[in-house]
Amino acid sequence: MAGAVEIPAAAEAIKFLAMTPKTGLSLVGIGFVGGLLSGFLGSGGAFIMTPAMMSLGIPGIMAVAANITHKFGKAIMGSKKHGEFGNVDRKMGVVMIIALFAGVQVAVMMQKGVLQKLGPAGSNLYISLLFVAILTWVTLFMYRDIRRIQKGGSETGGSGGMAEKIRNLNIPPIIHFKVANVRTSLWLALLVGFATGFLAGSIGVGGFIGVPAMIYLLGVPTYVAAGTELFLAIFSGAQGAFLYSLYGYVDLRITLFLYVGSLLGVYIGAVGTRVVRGYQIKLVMTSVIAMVMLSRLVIVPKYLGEMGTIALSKGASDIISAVSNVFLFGSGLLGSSIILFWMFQALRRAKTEKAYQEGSVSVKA
Amino acid sequence: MKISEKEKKDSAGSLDLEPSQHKTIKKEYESVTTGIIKGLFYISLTAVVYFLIFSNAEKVLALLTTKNYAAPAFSMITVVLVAYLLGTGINKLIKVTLERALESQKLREE
Repeated sequence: MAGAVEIPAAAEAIKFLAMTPKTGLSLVGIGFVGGLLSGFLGSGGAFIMTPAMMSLGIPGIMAVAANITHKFGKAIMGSKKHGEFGNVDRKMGVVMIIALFAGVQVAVMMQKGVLQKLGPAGSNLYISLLFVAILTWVTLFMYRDIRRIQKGGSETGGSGGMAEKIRNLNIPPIIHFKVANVRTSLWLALLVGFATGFLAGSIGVGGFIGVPAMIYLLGVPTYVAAGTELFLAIFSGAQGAFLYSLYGYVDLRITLFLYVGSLLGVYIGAVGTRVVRGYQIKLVMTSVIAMVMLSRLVIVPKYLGEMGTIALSKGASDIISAVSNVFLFGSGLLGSSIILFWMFQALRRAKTEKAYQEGSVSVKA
Repeated sequence: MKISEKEKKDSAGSLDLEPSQHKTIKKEYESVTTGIIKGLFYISLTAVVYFLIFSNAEKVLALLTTKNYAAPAFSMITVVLVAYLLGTGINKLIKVTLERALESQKLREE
């Protein structure tokens, strides 16, 4: 996520966790899944890491603090690695970051308004519905594009429809982003930054919108969108790490355990982008986004029950939460499994080719 | 600093390369052993930082809850240091193992 941070006014009391080997290992595992998704997709770590840490007994605000603090360093190293591969357009990142922070501020103001009017359950419902609406649209849009590519369409070709019309507006000034090799309107880049920030501030997963928006609205190659998103995450991570540390919510031990897994994951994920086609990255992203969207859709009746709109027993509410968690954690595991499976396949192909080449050399000799 | 013709020739080897290009290529294609040693060196430095933090966990947690600028300064410096050391170590190891093994499988159609 490339969004900024709002510290809740009434935060939970600080309760540092007793660090056992089991907790440490679990944190390394959570870090690995989050890192792998971030390295491969440019985003996608936060939505699974925070709830996973909370399920270990870490208070919510400390889970968010540990996640965002670890994201700061991970984004620095991840974007450095993507930079080595020519995947980071810093100029685009700098242009987008200004609009992104403005988007976050607007979203936070709206969130506060919803919270005041509808209360906590209403606010949760608003977030979930926004999640479902936006992510359904992104999922369908990306799915249609993947089908088009699978049928032989070009990877960079027009996706058609509204996105292409917006992309072709060309309102001056036009900027050339060298690394992405894209000429686009400054206003469009700012709009993408603002939309990413707004959704990051509203639903907490700006990268899910930022990466597809860069691909379809600005015409940025998938690899560069992933790398540039990580570059953007440096700034939001720095802001978050600073604020949460200042308020005393950062348990550095949690962050350090997360690093062991996540830095390994982020590098493996970044290498993974080199051995797959662009549409395969889109495929993983679509699968993950669709499952996260389902997890939010399933939980809507629970919030309606809490608001008193529908009658729901505690047992039914617990079942709904469990099903929602299955989709949420399943999305991370599914995404990671697909990435590792493709990398394993690429390794096997490389070994076979090497053996074949060595065989043909020895036959010639 | 001016580079003599002889030095330039030596560093560039038999190829017609500038010394800076030669240095980049050398860095990019360091041997597996060198890569692993460098990677393990950075990881052992990370282990030292981890040892210092975890063996002084109580003092560290007390510092982090002071709610003044010392807390963000300490946590952000530690995070950047660990990310750099551990990240560089893992990067060096992956570069000479996984990345090299997958060199022939590189795809970039965009």
